[in-house]
Amino acid sequence: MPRTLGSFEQVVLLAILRVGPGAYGVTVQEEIEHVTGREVTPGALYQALDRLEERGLVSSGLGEPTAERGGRRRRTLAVTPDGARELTEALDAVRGMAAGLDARIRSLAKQA
Amino acid sequence: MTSSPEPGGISRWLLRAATRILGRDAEWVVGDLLERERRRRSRGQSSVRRLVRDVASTVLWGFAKRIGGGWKMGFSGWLGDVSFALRSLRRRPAYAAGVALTLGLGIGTVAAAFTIVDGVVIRPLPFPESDRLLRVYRTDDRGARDLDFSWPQVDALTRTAAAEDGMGAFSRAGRILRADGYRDGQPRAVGFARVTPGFLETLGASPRLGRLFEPAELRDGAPVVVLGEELWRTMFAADPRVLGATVRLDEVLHTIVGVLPARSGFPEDAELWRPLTADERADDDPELILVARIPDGVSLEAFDQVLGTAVGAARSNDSDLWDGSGARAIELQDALLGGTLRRALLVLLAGAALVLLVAITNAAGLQRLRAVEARRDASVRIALGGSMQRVVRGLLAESLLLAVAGAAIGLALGALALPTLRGIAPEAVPRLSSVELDLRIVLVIALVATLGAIVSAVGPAVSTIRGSSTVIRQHTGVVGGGSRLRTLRTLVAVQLGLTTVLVISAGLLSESLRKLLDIPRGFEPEQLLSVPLALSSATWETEGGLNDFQEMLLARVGALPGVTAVAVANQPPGMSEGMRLAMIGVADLPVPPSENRPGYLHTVSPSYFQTTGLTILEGRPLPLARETSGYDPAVVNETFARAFLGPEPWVGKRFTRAGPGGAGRVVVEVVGVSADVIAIPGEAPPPILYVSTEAVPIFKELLVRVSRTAPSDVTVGLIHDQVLALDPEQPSNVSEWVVDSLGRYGARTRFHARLMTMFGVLALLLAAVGVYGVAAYGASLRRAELGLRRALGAPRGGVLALVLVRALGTALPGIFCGALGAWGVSRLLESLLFEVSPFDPAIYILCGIGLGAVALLAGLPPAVRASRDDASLSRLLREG
Repeated sequence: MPRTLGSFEQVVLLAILRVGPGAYGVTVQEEIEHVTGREVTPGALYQALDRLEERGLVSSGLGEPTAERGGRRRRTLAVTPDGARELTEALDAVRGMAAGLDARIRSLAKQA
Repeated sequence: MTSSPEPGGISRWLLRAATRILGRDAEWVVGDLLERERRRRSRGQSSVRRLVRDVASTVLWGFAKRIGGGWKMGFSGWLGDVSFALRSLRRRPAYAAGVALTLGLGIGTVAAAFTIVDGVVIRPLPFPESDRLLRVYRTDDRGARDLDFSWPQVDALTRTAAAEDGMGAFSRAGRILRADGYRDGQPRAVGFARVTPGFLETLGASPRLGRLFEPAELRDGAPVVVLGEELWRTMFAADPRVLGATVRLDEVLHTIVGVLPARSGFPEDAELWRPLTADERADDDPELILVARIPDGVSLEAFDQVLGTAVGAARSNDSDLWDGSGARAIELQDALLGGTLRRALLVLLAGAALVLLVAITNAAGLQRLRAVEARRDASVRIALGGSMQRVVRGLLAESLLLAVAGAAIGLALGALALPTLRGIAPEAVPRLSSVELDLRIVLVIALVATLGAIVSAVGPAVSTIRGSSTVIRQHTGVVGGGSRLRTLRTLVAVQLGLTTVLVISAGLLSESLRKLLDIPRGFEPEQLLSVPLALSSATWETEGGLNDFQEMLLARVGALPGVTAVAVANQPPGMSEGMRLAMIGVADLPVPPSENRPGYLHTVSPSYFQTTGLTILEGRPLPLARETSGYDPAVVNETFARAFLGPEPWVGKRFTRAGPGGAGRVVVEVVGVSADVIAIPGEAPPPILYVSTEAVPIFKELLVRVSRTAPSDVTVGLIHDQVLALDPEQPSNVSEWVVDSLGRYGARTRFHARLMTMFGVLALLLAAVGVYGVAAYGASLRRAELGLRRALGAPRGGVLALVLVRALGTALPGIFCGALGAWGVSRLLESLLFEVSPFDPAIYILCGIGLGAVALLAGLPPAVRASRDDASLSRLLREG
């Protein structure tokens, strides 16, 4: 049975899409940290990316070397159609479950 | 904030480490690291903590990816296992600490012991092709096999074929060294080697600075010295300009020509080297230690023949000089070590290995206990569809983590233990001072321990899977612990057995030490202080001056509070090694001049016997003033009397001895016979003739008996002050308690006994933990039964006894087998024992009782808990 996407994996896929073409480790990590406000270690990110790539949800390639990286190339990242499909499913599931509950969840959270 | 793309210092090092581990992925990963760091810097958010965290997490990821590649589950699974194991261990701090500490103790002990054995026994001497270096001994026709050579003998031998690849000799000496312009000209006592031509060349020593001796300097005994690096650093502050500078060695000016690198000089305890002087050559004492280099490809036996031929030829040239001598050679490293010491060190290594074994068994036992708990966990997880493999891997990951932690603790303990071991080691252990903890050794031992730990964890892990099908049975915890308890009890018994071997060995060695220390010394070494004096400075040059100095010194120091008696002598009692002054000729007595055990002349002030407590067996001590009879009064020791004075009575006998420098004759009258001073128990004391410093004004030591009630620090300070007040040129703060320097001779046994005792105590602690664990587990398995007994009216004491009997039942077979084992291996100890049989029944019985008591004590807490556990019955009823 295929595994469903974990929440961190969803976040990683979304971050790649947000950064757009030419996304790579540093920009994806910064995007996640910027939007979610939580620090991400590169090891955790690479581990998730390896897992996603193994399942064919993310593709990667080597980009051009740049001076600011000391002449080293980037591992560029892109979401594959399969990845997009699984992401849609996962998001649909969450959206479906959350439909109409937004106000209630927020007011419940405020009580605490 | 700088924004250079290549960070420096620590970060650069971290980057290199990351590159090494990440291999192929390194380019983009390091690129990411660099870019991220650069961006952070430009935002002012850079911190070492963040960088280290990033690098560490990246490296961990890369590491897991590489290792994990071989496993079906992939790296993420392993990473997960490790983090799961970390969390699980964090929930069981006592268990984790127990296993890690136990392993750490074992690893540390073996690491330190093996480091010493490696450094002292295994590692070759620090010379080029050191396996070709030999020590040559002189033998004689009376059966002596380890004599040394006189200068004429060395000189003759170095001209033969045996010296083809190098031959030279040295003798040790100790003097006061003073260097103007360094350390404020403060004098310092140094030990040094007087070397013959060819000695340093034979070793293959090369200078760190300057040069070695020129052939001409060696030939003429020129006043030049080569410093050891240690002395160069401590006394001359590693000043490269010392070359050409002059120092005063025993007040004679010498020129420094070179510095030998640390640990490459020989003998190891020499701090400087100088050529053997013409005077020293004239002295025909056979005290030169001969070293030769065996030609490449020649066997020791073949060389022995060459040597034999050479000595034979020399003997036929000059039969008086050789007097029936022969020669034999053994490898220098073996000669240094001696068979006994080598065996002792190997026995100690074996002892340490036993501690490691006990530690691994203990860790295995603890892991078995942990497996019981894990089994319940696993049953639930597997019943809920979890992967069996995953559970086992979790347990293995735990063991691995614990082993790594144990190795780290072991490394730290080993590093801490080494200075301690060095501290309690006798100075006679060669090369020990140069021994340092070798990381490679620790890693190898840690690897072995890790394997041990993993193997010991596989059992519990497998039994976890096997047992996990029977969820219900496991859940009650009332039944089904039996087989595990049996395994545990076996482990603990093995542990106690190994411990027993160690404890009995420690007992035998300690008893040996006690016997050694109980030997009457012939004098009272306690509270006796010896202060070296340097008396060749111009002030006291004349004989009268020396006598004045002696008188003033004795009066001033004798008047100090806390001083009960004071004397001067040419050496402290019991220090006949290397302090021989003159051989005596006993011309009027019917003894052969070539008597194998030559006598020694000790010059002492009349108060010497009172100060040292040296017993006068017959007659009286030296009189205070020279008697008018015209004869020199003398006291001889018992060995002297028996060897040279013929039948009793000895007092009143007269004989002649050679005068100073062998010139003239002095008639001596024996006024008293003293007890022998026993410096090295088991070794025959040398014959000694004590004459007054009034007759022979040579004294190099001030001996002071310090009152037991006086604060010794203060008294020692006062004594130094008085000596310096009288002569500011005297070396300061170099005094030594005679009992300490004597102690060095018993030091080997003390070292063995202390080490074995340390190992024994360690193993005992570990074994006690083991007994405690098995008793606690056993009691927990029988909680229901014990509760039932209590409820049915069994007295508290009865339950207590039940648990304790169980603990003893585990311990006793182990102790018994251990005693048998000790009996088997104690043969190895035999050569290290002194007047103690390796099968001494009293020690076996005492150790057995002691171990049994420890086992009982360890079983006591669980027993008490079980006997108080009144709630057990209700729990039993509830749990079914």
